[in-house]
Amino acid sequence: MTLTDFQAVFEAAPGLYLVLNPDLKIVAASDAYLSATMTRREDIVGRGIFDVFPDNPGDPNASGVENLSASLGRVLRTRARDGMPLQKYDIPRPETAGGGFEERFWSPLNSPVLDRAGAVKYIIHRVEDVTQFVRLQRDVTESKRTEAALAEAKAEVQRRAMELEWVVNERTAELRKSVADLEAFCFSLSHDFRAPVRAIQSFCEVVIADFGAALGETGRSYLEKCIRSARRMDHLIADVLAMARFSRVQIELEPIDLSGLFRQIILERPEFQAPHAEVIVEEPLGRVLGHEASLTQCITNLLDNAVKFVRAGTSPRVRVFAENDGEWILLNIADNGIGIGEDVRARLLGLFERGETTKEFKGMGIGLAIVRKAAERINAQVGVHSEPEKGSRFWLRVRKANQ
Amino acid sequence: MKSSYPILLAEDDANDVFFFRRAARDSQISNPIFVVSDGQEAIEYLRGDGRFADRDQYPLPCLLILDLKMPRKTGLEVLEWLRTHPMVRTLPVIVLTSSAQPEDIDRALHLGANAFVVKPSSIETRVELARSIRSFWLQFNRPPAFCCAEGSGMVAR
Repeated sequence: MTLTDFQAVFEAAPGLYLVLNPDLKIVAASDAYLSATMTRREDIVGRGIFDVFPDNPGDPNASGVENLSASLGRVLRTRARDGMPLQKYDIPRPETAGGGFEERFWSPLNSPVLDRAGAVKYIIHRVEDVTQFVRLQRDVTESKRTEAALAEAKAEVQRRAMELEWVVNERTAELRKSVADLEAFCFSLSHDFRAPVRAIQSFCEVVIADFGAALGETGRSYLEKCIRSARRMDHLIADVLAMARFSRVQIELEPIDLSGLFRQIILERPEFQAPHAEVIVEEPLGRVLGHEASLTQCITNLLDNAVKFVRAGTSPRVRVFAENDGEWILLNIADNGIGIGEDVRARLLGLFERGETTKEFKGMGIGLAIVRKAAERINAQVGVHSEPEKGSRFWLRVRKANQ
Repeated sequence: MKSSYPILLAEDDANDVFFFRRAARDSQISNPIFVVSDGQEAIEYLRGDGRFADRDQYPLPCLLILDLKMPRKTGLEVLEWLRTHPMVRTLPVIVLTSSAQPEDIDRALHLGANAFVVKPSSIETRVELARSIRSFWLQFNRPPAFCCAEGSGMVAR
């Protein structure tokens, strides 16, 4: 074989070979090496290896030059072959392919070629490109890591969800307990309030019964005022209690005959009967979908209002009538009272809408608040039409019951 | 005399005791009325503890009028005790309380109350209630065997 043939054989060898001289200048390269490092023979032969393959300036951890020069140094010193562990050594990308560096992993082996005297004449730098292998492994590791992270995240989400559920349960229990405590307190309070109020009323009655003659007409009338006030106080306390109950008791809507309900309410309350007042019910009022206790609360309070606010010397006269309004019945309670001015009416509507109470409606406030609450419970609306001096017409819009 | 059959009133409010006595007087209830001021004392009376052992002075009642909201032991607790105690388990009990929560009514009846009445607030209604008690519970109703061997009504008439 001629030397030229040897050169041809070396260049065509199916391996990645680079031959360096002791000054670490490139002397020869196999075609496969050139192809793998994206270089051309004429561009690299004669140049220093680290001149051709500098470290990737974009990789702060680049260790290629350091590790390879250490290995080559050892070969020169020991004149023995030196295998390098897996080495990341990025290679410059030709300007035509976009420039910059390309990530590569190599498995290098550096073997000395000695002359007769035993000195290092050349170093054969043989590498295997393991980039694909490393990448594959890295992908597997990464996907495993991602999987683990995902599992961890899932566990975390689950833990948080459980934590949240626990917190919600605890808060709900706490809230239930405070509601129950409040109800118990409300009940206890109303009970404790009523006892002395009833005692005031009863003792006044006892004084009238036993010492009425000595008191005379005026004295008796004062005590009667005491009794009426105490009775009103007792009603108010009962209303507060009713209000508290309305907020929590579940109700079911059922058909209610309004005419019957009005008859019953008027029968039970002397203040809606002659000679205290005249309540004219234009029957039939119709059947609505409601709840007896809630409707009774609404109607009683509205009637109370209607007969209460009249000019001195006027006898309360209330007209109750129903109007058809499609699916609804509009129940009207019209009085001959003092009426309500526009500004007051606006605030009164506020009371209906938001449950506000203001000074103008003292004695009216809790009653109307109950009306609103009770109406809300049966999906009914409530409102008022009024002109000063012409009386008021409170209305309740309730859903019709199927006949 | 049957009108000597005693009534025990368990009531912690001195005013209500006064009004009950007055209404009893105005409705011609002549039965002796004994008063205990809390639930614990009611149980002690019925059991004959301490001074209540003297049955000449503190006779076993034939009707118990029981307030619910009382210190030491509530009316409901008295009822619970009463209905498991052999000697007095048949004693007629009228619950007389100031505010009627539907739960309380059911609970009292479940525990064996014979009637549930809300305290009236006017003297007139108090007397009316006392008359009804006299007429139904002391006259028409037959008391249990332990307080009425003859088995007739509790008031002479």
